Amino acid sequence: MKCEWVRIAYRVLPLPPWRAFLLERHIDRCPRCQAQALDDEAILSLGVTPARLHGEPPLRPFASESGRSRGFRPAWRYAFGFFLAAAILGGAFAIWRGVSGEPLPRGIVTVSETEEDARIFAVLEAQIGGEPARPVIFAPGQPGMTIVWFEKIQN
Amino acid sequence: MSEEELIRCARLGDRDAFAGLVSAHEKKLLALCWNMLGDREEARDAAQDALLQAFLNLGRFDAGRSFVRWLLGIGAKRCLDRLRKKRTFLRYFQGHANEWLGGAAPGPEAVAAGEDAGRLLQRLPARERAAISLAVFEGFNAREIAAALGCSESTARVHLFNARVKLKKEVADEM
Repeated sequence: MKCEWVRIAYRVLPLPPWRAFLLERHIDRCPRCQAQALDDEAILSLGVTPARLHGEPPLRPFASESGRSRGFRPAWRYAFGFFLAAAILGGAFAIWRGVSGEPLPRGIVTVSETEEDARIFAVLEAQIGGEPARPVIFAPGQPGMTIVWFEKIQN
Repeated sequence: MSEEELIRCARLGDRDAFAGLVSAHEKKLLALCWNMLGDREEARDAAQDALLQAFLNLGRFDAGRSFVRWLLGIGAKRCLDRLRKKRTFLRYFQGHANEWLGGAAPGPEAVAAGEDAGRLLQRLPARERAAISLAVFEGFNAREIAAALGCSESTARVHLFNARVKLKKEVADEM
């Protein structure tokens, strides 16, 4: 009966000090009220304790290492971009050199074909850049195949 | 390095010092969030959130207080915020569940169900759950609970008492 009166008084009394006094003096210490409440040990068994989190992976508020590497990432990105630009420029320069560089010597080969079926021919004259060129004949060993090319005569 | 030195370095922006500072207390923080939210992944998110808040507000930390109590207080507030948002979401979602999904949305109890750890704790109102988690699992007194939850000390005592009574009934009903 006493407990009920205290709880009613707690609800009715508006002043925080009185409420705190009643609670501290009664609810926290009254054996009858405490008997209605679950004790700490039983409550501990209902929840999660830090000891039960032994195998839990650690929380990472922020990776300390990534802070430093983040500073380097843009540099690597720029380096890759620089390398790519250099490769493109280099490729473009090589193509430009190949197209507009020193012109290859123009060669003239005069071939007199004697028999069409037999594919026999003779090189009468060969020039590279207006100068006489030397024919080189290479027979790889396969029947019916002869490779002929011309090269400048080095003085 | 002592806790005071770690706090001083962390205040200057040293993340490694802050990581060292919280590494000793993160299990406590995670356990508190788990007890309050009833879900492991959500608890980890809330704990991460609390750690970030603690780092950002480290300048406001009173060196005369206990760091772990301050950190756990932030964790309790973050969990209460999450529970409030979840309740609002579920209230809205349940209103449209039949229309959208053709079935009822799970309630807070159903969401909490399946988590064995803290299952009975999840049946308590959020503030009572916070009060009992801080008091029993972390050793907070009524004044510290009041400071953490932003209420008066007497209200914190009532939350604690009501939570204990309700838990005893729940345990009795389960048996």
